[in-house]
Amino acid sequence: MNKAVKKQDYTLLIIVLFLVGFGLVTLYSTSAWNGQVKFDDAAYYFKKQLFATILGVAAMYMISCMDYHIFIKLAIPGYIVSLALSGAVLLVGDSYNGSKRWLSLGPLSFQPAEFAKLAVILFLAYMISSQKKKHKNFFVMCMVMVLVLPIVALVGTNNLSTAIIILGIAVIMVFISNPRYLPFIWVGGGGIGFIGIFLSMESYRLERLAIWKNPEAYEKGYQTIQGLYAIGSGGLFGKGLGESIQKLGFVPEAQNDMIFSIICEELGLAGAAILIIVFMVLIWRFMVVATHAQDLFGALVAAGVMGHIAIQVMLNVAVVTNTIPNTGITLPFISYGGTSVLFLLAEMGLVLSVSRWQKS
Amino acid sequence: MATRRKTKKKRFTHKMQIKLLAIFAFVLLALAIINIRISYIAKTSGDKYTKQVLSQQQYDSRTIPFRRGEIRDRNGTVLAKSEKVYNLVLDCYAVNQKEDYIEPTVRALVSTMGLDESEVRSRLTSDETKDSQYQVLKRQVTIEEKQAYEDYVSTDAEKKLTDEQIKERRNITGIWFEENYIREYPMSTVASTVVGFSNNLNDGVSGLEVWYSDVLNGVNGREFGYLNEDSELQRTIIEPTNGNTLVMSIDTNIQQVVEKYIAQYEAEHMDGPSDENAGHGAKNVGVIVADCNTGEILAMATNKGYDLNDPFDLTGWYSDTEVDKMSEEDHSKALNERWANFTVSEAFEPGSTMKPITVSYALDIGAITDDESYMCDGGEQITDRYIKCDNVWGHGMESLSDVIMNSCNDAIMQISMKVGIGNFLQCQAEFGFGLKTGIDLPNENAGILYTKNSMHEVELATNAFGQGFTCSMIQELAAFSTVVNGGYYYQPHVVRQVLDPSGGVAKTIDPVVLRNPISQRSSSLLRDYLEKGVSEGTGRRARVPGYRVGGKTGTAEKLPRENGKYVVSFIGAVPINDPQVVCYVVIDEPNVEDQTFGGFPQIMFRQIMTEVLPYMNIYPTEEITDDLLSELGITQDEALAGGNAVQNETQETNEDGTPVEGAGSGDGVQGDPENPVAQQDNLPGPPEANENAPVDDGAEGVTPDDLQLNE
Repeated sequence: MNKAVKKQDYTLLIIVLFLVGFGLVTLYSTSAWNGQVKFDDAAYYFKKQLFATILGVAAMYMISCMDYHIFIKLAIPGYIVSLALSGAVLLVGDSYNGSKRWLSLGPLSFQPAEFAKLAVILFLAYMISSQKKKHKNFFVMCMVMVLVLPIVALVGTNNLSTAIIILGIAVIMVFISNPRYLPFIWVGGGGIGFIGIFLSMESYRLERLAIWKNPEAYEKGYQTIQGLYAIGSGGLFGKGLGESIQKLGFVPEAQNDMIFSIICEELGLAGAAILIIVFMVLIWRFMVVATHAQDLFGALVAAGVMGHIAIQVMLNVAVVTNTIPNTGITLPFISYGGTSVLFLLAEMGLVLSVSRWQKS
Repeated sequence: MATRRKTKKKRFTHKMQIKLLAIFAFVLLALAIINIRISYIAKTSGDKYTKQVLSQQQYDSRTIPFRRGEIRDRNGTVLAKSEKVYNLVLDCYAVNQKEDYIEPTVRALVSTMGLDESEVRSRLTSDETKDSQYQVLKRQVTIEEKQAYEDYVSTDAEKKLTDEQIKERRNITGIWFEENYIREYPMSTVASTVVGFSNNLNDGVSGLEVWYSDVLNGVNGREFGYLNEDSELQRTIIEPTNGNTLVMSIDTNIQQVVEKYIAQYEAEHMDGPSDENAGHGAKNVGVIVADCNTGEILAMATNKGYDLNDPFDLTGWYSDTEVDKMSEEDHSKALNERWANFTVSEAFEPGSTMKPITVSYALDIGAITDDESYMCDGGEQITDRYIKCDNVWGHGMESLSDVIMNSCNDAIMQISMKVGIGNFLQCQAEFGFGLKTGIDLPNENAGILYTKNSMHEVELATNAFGQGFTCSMIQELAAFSTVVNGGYYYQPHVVRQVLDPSGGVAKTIDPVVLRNPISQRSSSLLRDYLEKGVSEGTGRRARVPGYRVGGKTGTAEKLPRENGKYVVSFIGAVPINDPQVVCYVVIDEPNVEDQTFGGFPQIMFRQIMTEVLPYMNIYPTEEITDDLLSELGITQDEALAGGNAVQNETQETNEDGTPVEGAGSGDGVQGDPENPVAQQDNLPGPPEANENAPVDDGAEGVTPDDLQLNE
């Protein structure tokens, strides 16, 4: 019944595989020292990431072969599961670096927040596309947004950055599906005001702003300033893969949020620029897939994934370059994080599947 | 299904596409801005941040150096090791933080480390260094000196310091000691050409130190200081990996015997006629002792040994005034000559020591047989040239055994014609001439050979008796060992084991048979011939009382031919019926009037073997007769103790001044090729350049030496 164009988007696939491979290499380079020091195994982080990546690539392949319409039925149950998991993590989650973000399942641990992003994309795509003509009504759209708030609240209690990402994805999806512009400007203004109040409610949040303005003056600006040192010392072509000094304990947990600064140090401006361009191409492909999607659901899934990747890349790189205050957002495909890479690859599978069912 | 149908109708409208495009444009713009920002950071703060990175590394983290491995001989005697020393480092920045710190710190440095007070103060005050956190005040501080400083600083109650003093001690700041290692050579000159030396940066410069530099080196460790997320300074240490230790096949005891006799020879002939080599017994003296059944080198020495702890000292070859006058280029040339290993790095025409190799191969391929006889009439017409034997009157009818015994060129030339050019080149290749042996020492010289295209009958005939091509000592030694050991070409090597830093065996270097050029039978025949060559022939001065010795003499005239400069040599194996040890002695341009006299290498061989064989638990099997002792000019005691009495050697040399052959003329050993008279009478004028000779830029030419032009 559906006209399937058999070819999936190979450009997208190649870019994803490149990013995954590049991510593994960079991850090994940045994490070897930390792994050696903490676990006496230079490949400690690498091995865990490799395992997750292999699982993720398998998931990507399977999903890309499926008809994505199956997920229409799974959208609501998936959303409910993600709510349950995010709730569960508050009660029985494991702490790491002072944040309760992990659920353990035997030897495996799992971050429900990463799953929540995927669940929200599917949920919103379904909700919006099933609203008949009503999606043109701004009020209805606001109601859709309200449906997302529970998960934002649950995730936001211990992982503010991921909550912001989820909210951002929701705003983008609603924005695209609604023909009006003005209300969004109004909402945007309101949002900024809200953030201002939210920040001033607790002093430590304002402190972040002060650190952002002058990181060298604060002890807690250490991570930021060390990241800047790494970026500045890389030069045009960098010190060479594996030659970073800053990853040797100066940039704490160099394999996580700050990995981009080590890429700048090792591969220089050139390497960093190429990586950003690759991300740009990736985002462009999402747009192309969305534009050519067979139906609204598919288009919104692709647009949601696009929003997800774009927000994370922008925020991560902006944080590392101290363009915005520090938030803990990882760089997709590159930063360390098994759950993250697994669900990112699942999302890629979804978009690839959408790309196979295109309108003629 | 209902849902599905509904969604199918929904389309991604044009308006939505435009909105999507708007978001995409926004993302592009944001990423472009961030890219510009990165460039901006790198451009405006790049230098500052780079310095910051380096400086915090210097301050917060330090290198923990590895210890370079040792070099030991086969008995565990240490010939090279690294000792821990300290660099005294001053953190000027820390001292200048508080006025109270300065005086106590300066006082401590001056009183315990003996530093110049004005120097320390200038470091603390000069603009360049006052903010530096890393100023090395003194290098190679010993552990005792460090201890003295630590005692001074300690405020132990036992020292009963006054409150004033305690306060002063506590204000001492910014002084720390950085670990380092320096290389030491406990045996200084022993085996210096083999061991070589390395600089204090752990780079090998010569010998095993350079060949195995990477094996000896380890990996530096690091201590890192960094602030964690709670801004606390944390330290982590990655321990250094120390280097591996080398166990040589060299035996220091044998090595010292060899070096003793080289020194003795040098001392005896230092007043010779040569200006160039004044103060020395020869331009080069080289000796190798090896186990012929494994290729392991037991001793290897030259007359250019030097103190490894002071390798830049040219004493012995150049006076201080000469060194002062040298240009930088000449100085480095002189040093490189001093550090070079003659036995491996220099190629020369081997001379008659090639003969047993030619004969063994000829026998092996069936070109000749054991029962053949040769007529020596004093020379041989080879195409357009007449090449004389050393005995211009001819050796007469000879068996193969006589050919080796008499070192007869004429017969060897006849044999070479039977072998032919193709087979002879194959012989050279199989015995490793023209190829590096692969010994684990640097700068190996492979020598220069004729090729299939450049070799003609004349070259064939002369190469067959060791003239006209060049080889190194180690090549000749490996080839000769093959002839006597049953036909197995072992790769010579100096290191037999590599030990890991904890002392376990990391690698054992087993003997490697590279080729098998001749059979057991050919080898056995050659052993008989070689024994006769020593007991009755040209190598009689090499007889070692009590042992069966087989060997071959060699005398080769150097280029340019008319200068009367020679390389004389002897190579022999003991006991020849079951060879265990091979010893090769080469004297390049002996510092005597008549350089053709081949006795010195034989005497040195005998002296070395007389001491080394009992040490190696190879016991005498033969009776020591008084005739033999008187012929050798030594007493029974000397024969047993190793013949190390210098005055007797001097006497013997005098005796040798008149050829021993003269005294022994009755036994028919005339026309000894090592006999100077025969050769000098027939010395040609300047030898014509051989157009077939490969071009060689070295002093050792490849033009056939004994080539006589038929005018």
